[in-house]
Amino acid sequence: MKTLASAENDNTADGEVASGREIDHPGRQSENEVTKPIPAQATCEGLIFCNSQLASSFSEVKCNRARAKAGQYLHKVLLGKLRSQSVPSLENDVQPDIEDAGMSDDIVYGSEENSKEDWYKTWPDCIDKEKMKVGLKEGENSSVDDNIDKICANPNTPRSLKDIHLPLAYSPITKGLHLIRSAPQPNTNGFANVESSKKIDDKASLPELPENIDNSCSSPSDSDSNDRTKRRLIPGILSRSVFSWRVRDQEIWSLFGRSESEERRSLRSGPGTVGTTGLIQLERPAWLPAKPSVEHQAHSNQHSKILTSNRKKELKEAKLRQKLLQMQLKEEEEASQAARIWLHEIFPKWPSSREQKRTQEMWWRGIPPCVRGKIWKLAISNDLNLTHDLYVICLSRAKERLSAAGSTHSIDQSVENDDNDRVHSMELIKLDISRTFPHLCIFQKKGPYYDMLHSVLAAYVCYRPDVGYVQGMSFIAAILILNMDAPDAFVCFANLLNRPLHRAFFALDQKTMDAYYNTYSCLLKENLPNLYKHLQECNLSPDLYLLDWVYTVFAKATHLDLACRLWDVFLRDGEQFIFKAAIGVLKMFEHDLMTMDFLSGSKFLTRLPDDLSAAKLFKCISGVKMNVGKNIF
Amino acid sequence: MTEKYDFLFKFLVIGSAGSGKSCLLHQFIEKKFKGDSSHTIGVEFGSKIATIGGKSVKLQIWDTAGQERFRSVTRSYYRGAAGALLVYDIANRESYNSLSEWLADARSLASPNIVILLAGNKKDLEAERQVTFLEASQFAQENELMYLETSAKSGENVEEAFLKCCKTILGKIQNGELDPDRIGSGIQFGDSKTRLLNQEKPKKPDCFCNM
Repeated sequence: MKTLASAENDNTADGEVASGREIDHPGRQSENEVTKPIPAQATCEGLIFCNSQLASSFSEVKCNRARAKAGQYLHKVLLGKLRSQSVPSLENDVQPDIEDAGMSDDIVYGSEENSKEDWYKTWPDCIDKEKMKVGLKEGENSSVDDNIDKICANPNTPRSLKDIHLPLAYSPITKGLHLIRSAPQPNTNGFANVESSKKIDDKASLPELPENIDNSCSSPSDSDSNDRTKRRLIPGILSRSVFSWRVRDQEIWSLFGRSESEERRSLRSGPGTVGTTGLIQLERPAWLPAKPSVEHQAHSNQHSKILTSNRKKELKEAKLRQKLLQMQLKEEEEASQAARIWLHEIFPKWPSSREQKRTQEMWWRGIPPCVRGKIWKLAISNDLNLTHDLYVICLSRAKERLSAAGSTHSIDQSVENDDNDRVHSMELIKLDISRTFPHLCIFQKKGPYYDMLHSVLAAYVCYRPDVGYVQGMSFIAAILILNMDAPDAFVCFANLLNRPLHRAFFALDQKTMDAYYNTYSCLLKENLPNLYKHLQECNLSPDLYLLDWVYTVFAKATHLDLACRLWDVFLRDGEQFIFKAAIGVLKMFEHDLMTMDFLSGSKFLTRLPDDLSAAKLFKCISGVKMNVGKNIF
Repeated sequence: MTEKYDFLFKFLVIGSAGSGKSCLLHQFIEKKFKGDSSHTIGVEFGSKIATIGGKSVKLQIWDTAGQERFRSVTRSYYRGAAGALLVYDIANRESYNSLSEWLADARSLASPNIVILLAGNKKDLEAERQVTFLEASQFAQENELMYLETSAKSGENVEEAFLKCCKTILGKIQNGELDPDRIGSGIQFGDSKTRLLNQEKPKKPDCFCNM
């Protein structure tokens, strides 16, 4: 079973090729049969898959480019990577128009562009230019890569990238893929294997992805191809757990942690790797006096010793990689197994299967992203009986108001107070959307989810003008949007906010909020008496850090993967879980917090470490007792 | 406690949503502009030790949420603040218009002698300016505020804003206008030695000292 994460990697490959950014370097340089093993070794230790030729060519490229376009080189590669993450759009079969319909790089990268000739509007175009370049540089005898030749033969035919077998090597230094002309080293086999497995991945994964990620309800610029281009820029973190809900039923993917993907990236290019350790002992030039035989012997001994030690090291590393890979495969297998059970056994028999012990246990371990949206929807339920029609009505009303306000607002300040308030809300929503999960870069203006999030929040403001927009809502809506369609997200959002805890908090009902804080304090005292005492002495009251956690249900405080898992259990157990999780966090860091004063403690709790370990946290949470008598839940 | 300082000031950053409070704080502490920060919910904290006139002062900065609706929550953070940065966005008239409300809150809820500096942020957006320097400085004068235009993006005047405030607070302590021992002054001593040197007659502390 392949994973979404791996699909993403493969798309990286496609993206690189499609944008034709880096393929010139090795193709051009590896014509040099003269190797420069030692400098190559020195500079390119991390270059995986490479032989010394590639390594030396790479180092040359690096040196050549370094002066002229210092940052640009890396910049482009990184940008290339970024672009390639627009997972859904790169499959030619699905969107044949990409190549012709002006998906020009200038639109996306225009501002950074200096030297236009390095950038290509289309894939055939790039090959054309590439060929020209190669031809110019190496003359007629150059054996341009067969594959490139093949492609060049018919440059105007848009073709599926899957048909093109390009020998690629991943370089962790550039984080990009490099075309290599041939693989003369004995590691060809391993290379070919990985290559072909990549191909299989492509076939398996790509067709599953949605055609167009933009299905927002209120995108006025749908027809604008610029916008569409930009919307496709989705950074890698996302495609892992975020897009999976769109994968629908056809295939099941599994969830991976943030760091795992990086690991995977290197792992996948792992097996069969022989590094840059080809140390060649050259004969002494004839014009120099010959070495004494003893010295010669000593040198060649040294040489072979170095080689054997290197080989050993590589073998060891390869074994380790193999082991890791196997472990990961096992994890993937388990995860996909779980997804299958969720989808085919739990989901169809929902209301009754919910209380089953197995369901509850699996729920605690995290719902697979592909079923997450569905299960959440069921778990939140629709007590308010909201319909999608209501969403559409609210949305159109919101739009009307907004456009009306836009024209009159500045002229007539003294409109109805209530109306004015709503306009303020709307303006703040706009401001806050791009400040929601800013590192994901998808909620910013022109981002793929900007309109969607805006629609859901605006519709809610129209649905509940008495509550209006309160900061923090955008995170809740965002988490929902990442897992379901906008109308569903709206329904879930409104229902969630109607639960007592969030109703009180978003209405800023201070009295009820204090009651919640008090209950939390009691629980804290019961569970962690020492820490409770310490925090009291420091004057660090729970409201300082709890507010954020309640308002966003940890969406802002923790990284997305962990937040989704916390949400899983939050929707299983209800709002009391927020407090349980909060105590879990404190428990996890009890030791550290005991040594902190007010300032460092409050700083720590309002900005938790980025790399919270989910496993550890859930272990801590599971140990929290929630039975302290007078519970107001 | 390894760090040494003479005073600790509780310091607020207040102002309308989106005026750049968190960015100012980040620029002051990290000397970097954080373009992709998310909005503050409730309060966030920052701290920095600054040396002013030979005294080291630790600033305990409370960076508050800006939304109007959160006022009721953020009000509870004001108690005992020694200084405040009142921030508005020079490219956003609304944020300037609501200054008087923020000011009233700060004066009534923090310590009465709170030192406030008005910061017109986003000075880099000169082209989109909606509030002139003159207008804001008149407002500052009328309300006895210090005034600076800052840019969290370029870093211009950011450190100055915080330090100017500190300097004024220190000055007030030295001329006896501010009494650090009074409850809710927002000032704590960092070290018993300075305490003796600084204040004529140290009463029993209402504040805890970090010795």
